[in-house]
Amino acid sequence: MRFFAGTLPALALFAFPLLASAATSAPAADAHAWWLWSLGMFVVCFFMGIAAVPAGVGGGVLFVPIVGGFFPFHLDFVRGAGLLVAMASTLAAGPSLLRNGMANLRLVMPLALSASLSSMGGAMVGLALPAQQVQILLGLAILTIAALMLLSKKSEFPHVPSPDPLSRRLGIHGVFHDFISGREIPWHVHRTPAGIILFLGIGFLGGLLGVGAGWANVPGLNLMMGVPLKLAAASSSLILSVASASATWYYLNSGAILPVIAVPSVIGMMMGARIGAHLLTVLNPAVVRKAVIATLLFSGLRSLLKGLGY
Amino acid sequence: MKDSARMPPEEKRYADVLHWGSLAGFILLVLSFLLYITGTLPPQAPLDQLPRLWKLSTADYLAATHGSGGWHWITTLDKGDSLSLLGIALLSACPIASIAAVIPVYLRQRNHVYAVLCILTVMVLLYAASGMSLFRHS
Repeated sequence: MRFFAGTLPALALFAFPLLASAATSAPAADAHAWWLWSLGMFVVCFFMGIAAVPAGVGGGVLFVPIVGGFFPFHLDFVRGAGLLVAMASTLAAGPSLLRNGMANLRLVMPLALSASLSSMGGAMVGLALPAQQVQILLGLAILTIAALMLLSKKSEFPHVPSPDPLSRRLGIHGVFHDFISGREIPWHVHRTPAGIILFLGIGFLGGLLGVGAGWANVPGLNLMMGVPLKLAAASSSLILSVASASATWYYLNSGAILPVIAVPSVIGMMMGARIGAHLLTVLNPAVVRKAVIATLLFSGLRSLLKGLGY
Repeated sequence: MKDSARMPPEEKRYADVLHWGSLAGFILLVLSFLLYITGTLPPQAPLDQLPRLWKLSTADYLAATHGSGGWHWITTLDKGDSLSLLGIALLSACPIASIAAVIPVYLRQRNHVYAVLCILTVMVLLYAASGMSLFRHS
């Protein structure tokens, strides 16, 4: 039963690119086709939202390759909407993550500064590059992300021998309350300078491709800096909201955000994510995660081929 | 859940501003979008032209719709699509407002390092929002 419950949204997620692709190749649509596409964006994003939560990925990383690969919109508008989708989801979650003690502002601020600066740079480069080149980069990045999702390990409570001098100076430490075990777990971080440099790179890629950066933030915080996994996931969300805002402003000022694409996507993704969070007890996260990886491989390959002119 | 007494004051301030700001942004986003797609407010770019226009790059789209990018949309808020952008702008401004709101808290705590970090982040975001960074591409 759990298998089927997990498979249903996963199959839907997998089917929509195919339907969108078929619709795109259909003869010229009538004058009212705009609302059909808008509705389609809402529905696709609704299912992406359901799948994204149990799969542990942000909406942006699914949105850009699927919509960019299978919908008729120019990649500029897709990336603009992708950033907005990524930002809106994290804005909605941010307050409760802080109130629950899941995110830490001292950890977030230095990395958010680094990522927001480079995210704007990534947006500048991304909108200056020809769409075809961005499509190739997107395809390669999505295939890499899928491989990372398949291969990367996680550590619930990483061992940090001693905090580095910068994190000590910045006071990046705390006590994390684990609701499952009921334990109070002291934490601190190491390799902070390397983390700041890593987030420069992550922010740049996020702005360039419009994919958000949760897929890289969490391993960076958890495996590199030694942040407990749940704290890493929550703090990643706050970092992403700041970094995405910087790039979103650039896309907005460039005219690369079309409300008719972006707004239904945001609403659909947020509604789906709420349902996805409620369905966590029913869905089989492992099955959904595998389906998401398969979708990323499929849409990444499609982006790559589209960029190469096939 | 952290009780409010244990929650650091800067995190409480950040969470409060983010909560109310994003709520206002979402409400405005949905309402303005409804006004736009129902035709209550006429759009700058005709809706039935969008399937042709959204295939263009941003530069070509702006040329085809006589738009100029930057903050030009703020002068045409009587148009449905421009008003929808106001909701998006409000959402994008939420992180700026939240970070700016915690600067006085850090200054009161004499935590000058974090006050400076927040000021720098706000400056980066304001620079992105200003449109001064806009790279004109064709």
